[in-house]
Amino acid sequence: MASPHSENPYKTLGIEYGATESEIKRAYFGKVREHSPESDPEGFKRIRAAYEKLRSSGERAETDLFLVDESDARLDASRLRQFDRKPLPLTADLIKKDLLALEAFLLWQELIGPNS
Amino acid sequence: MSGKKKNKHHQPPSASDLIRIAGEKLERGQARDAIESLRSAEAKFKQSAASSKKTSVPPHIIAAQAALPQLLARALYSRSLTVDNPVQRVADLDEAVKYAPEDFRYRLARGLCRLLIGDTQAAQIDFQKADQIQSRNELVNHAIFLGELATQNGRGAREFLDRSPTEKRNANWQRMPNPAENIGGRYLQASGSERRLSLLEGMLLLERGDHEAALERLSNWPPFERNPSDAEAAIMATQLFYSGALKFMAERYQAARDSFDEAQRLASSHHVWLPWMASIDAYCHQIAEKVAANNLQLAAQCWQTILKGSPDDETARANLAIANRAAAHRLWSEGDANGAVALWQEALQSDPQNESLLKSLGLGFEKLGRKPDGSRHWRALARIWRQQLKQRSAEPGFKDRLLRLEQHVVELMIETGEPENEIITELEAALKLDPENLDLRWQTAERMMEIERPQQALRHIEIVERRRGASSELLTRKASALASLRRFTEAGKTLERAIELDPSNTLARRGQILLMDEEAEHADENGHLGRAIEIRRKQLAIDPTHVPAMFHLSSLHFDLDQDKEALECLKRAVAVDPDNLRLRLDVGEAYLESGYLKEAEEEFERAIALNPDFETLHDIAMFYLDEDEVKKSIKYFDRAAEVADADQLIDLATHMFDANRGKDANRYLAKAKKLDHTHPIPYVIKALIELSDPIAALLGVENSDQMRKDLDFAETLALKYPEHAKKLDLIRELKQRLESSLE
Repeated sequence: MASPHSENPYKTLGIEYGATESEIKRAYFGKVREHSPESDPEGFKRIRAAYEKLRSSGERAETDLFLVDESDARLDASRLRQFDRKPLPLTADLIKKDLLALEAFLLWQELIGPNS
Repeated sequence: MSGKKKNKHHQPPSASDLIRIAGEKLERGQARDAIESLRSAEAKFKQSAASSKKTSVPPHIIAAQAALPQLLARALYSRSLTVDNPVQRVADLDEAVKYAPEDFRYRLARGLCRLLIGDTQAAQIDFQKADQIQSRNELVNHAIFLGELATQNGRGAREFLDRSPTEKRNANWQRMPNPAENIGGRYLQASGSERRLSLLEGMLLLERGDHEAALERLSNWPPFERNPSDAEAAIMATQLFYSGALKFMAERYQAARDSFDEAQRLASSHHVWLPWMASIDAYCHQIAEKVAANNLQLAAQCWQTILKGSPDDETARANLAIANRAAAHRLWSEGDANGAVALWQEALQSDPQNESLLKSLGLGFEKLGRKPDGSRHWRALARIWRQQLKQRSAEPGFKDRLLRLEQHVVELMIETGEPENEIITELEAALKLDPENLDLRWQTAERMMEIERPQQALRHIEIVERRRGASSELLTRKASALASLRRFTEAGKTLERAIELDPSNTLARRGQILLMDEEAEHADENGHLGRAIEIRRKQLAIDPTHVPAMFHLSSLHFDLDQDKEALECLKRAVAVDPDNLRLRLDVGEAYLESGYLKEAEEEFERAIALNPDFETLHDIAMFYLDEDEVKKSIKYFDRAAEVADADQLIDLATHMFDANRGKDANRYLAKAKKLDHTHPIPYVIKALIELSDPIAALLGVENSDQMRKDLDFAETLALKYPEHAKKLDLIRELKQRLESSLE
């Protein structure tokens, strides 16, 4: 079963989750040019392994099923809902109203007594 | 009261009873129940007033009716104290005022609540009316003053102050220092409360625009040394809110959010409601929007604060879910599966059908080793995907993923030992949506065989056969299903076809052999010995080493008095595996049962040579005993006794006792006692031997004393030695039986 994203074949090949077959191939060849077997055998192995996980539909299904969805990796601010109210500005009127309300509350506390 | 006795169990309470009950409930603080009773009483009064003719009403009823409005008003007032929301409170107080218009407290309370919710004109009317009812009341005066201020009537407030004698004013307020000083009106300066004073001063500074000074005044208040009263909590919460607002303006968002959160917590824990509380959500949403991109943690805290005060805020809930998922992903990437799973679970609560979350939880739980939890989430995902199969069939890879998921679910369910029928349910649900999936169908057939449903298994196998064609493996499985259904002939033919297709199919050959075992036994049981022999010979032609066939064949030959052939079969059997101890013993037993004593003994000696342990010698002795060859059996029992431990010697003694060989039994018991003097059972068996001694019985000799002594001694040993304690019950039961039999 696939593990955390360090083994994510999409990340290894530098492609997105929904990449097409040709995109996968192109990415693979591109990476192989950068990490050829002679110059970077370890890197090449990783790239090859990543490609194997995505090249056939069966392998890809297995890979896709056992990968955590990458779409959550970055918080996309556009997905956040906006709140339709802004806080009221602290005007003198508002402050006065809050003070009066507090006084009313305190007076009410006196009215109902300490044991209510 | 009428002369009739009221049976409380059958008659509903009267209106006056209800009023009395309501009064009791009110004393106990059960305002809601009291209101219910009083409304019922009210309804009853109305009913009787509507229906009664002009008869005289007893005085107690009149008194009760008169008391009802006051009581109801009191109950409604009490209930208003238990709700936090002032709008709801006002509704109760409206009714209280209706029922008791001359009680100034209800008007005053309603006025104060109206002031809280900003209904200032109505509040002032209430205060003035309260003043008319109870003039020069300190609280009412205070309230009127607040009302004047609230209705922007600074002049009226000043005049009122001037009119009110100082000594009549509430101790908590004083005259304003300077009428020109104004926060859109006037307000009171408190005395006796440092916190209240600080709050007022801070808010004054804020109103003047001196934010820095205001923040300084409103920050760093000392915590309470004890649990604050509701009034103190209201002051502190207001301070925290304003301090938070100032921090927000200074873009100190974390500090602002912390202040708002604490303000909300304090207010809600003390059932305080003040108008500024409605602003907390807006502030927190603002902070979250500003910081979300760079400080997801703070944004999530803001949404959490909002949800604490406004659990129905969908915006906060949705945003928090998104934030949690991002945080979960980060934790997962860092290897913190526990943290990630916790956040995904939380997110799933508000979005239970979310595929991404279900998949993440399936993976997460498996990584944590919690496979049953993982399985549950995978199954939920599989259900959703199955439902979507039609509309997503064109989506690249979707069907492959679904198939793989189904395989994984079944594997997981098998691994976690979930009930077979649930596994099959899973397989069949998948098959319904993908009936052409032959791999799935094959898997279903195999599971059906596991739970012994060969008919259903066969149906699936035959479908696969029709679509895919027959293979040796398929036919072998099919034959197994047919054999389970006792369709032996078909099963045999199917296996032949399987072997034809693949002569190396060992499973098919094995299946054939096993099938023939069944057939041969079946034929034997039905008396068709010739047929049984034929089958066994055919078996041996296929598998010349199949020992059960040789044994059965030998037995069949013996039955037909074909001893030579029978003996040949037995020799053939031991030739297959000459060093097989069990085989030697079985062959020896077969010889013995058929009367070939010499051959039997030879086999037994070969078996002993292979392994001269107690079990081997014991088994041989038992073979002889079963054939009533007692001397021979004792010979081997004696040999077994030489290598036996105490328990094994007791076992031998028991056999001898069962065979009425008391003397031999006693020999073994003596040996057992020598090996383990603590063992109680030798004495028990000895007692049993004495009880059943026929000579003693014949001569009328009383052995009971000795038996009792033996059993008593056995009991003593069992009590004394813990390793034998379990035998105590048996010993005591035998003692009881002995006593009963002697009686």
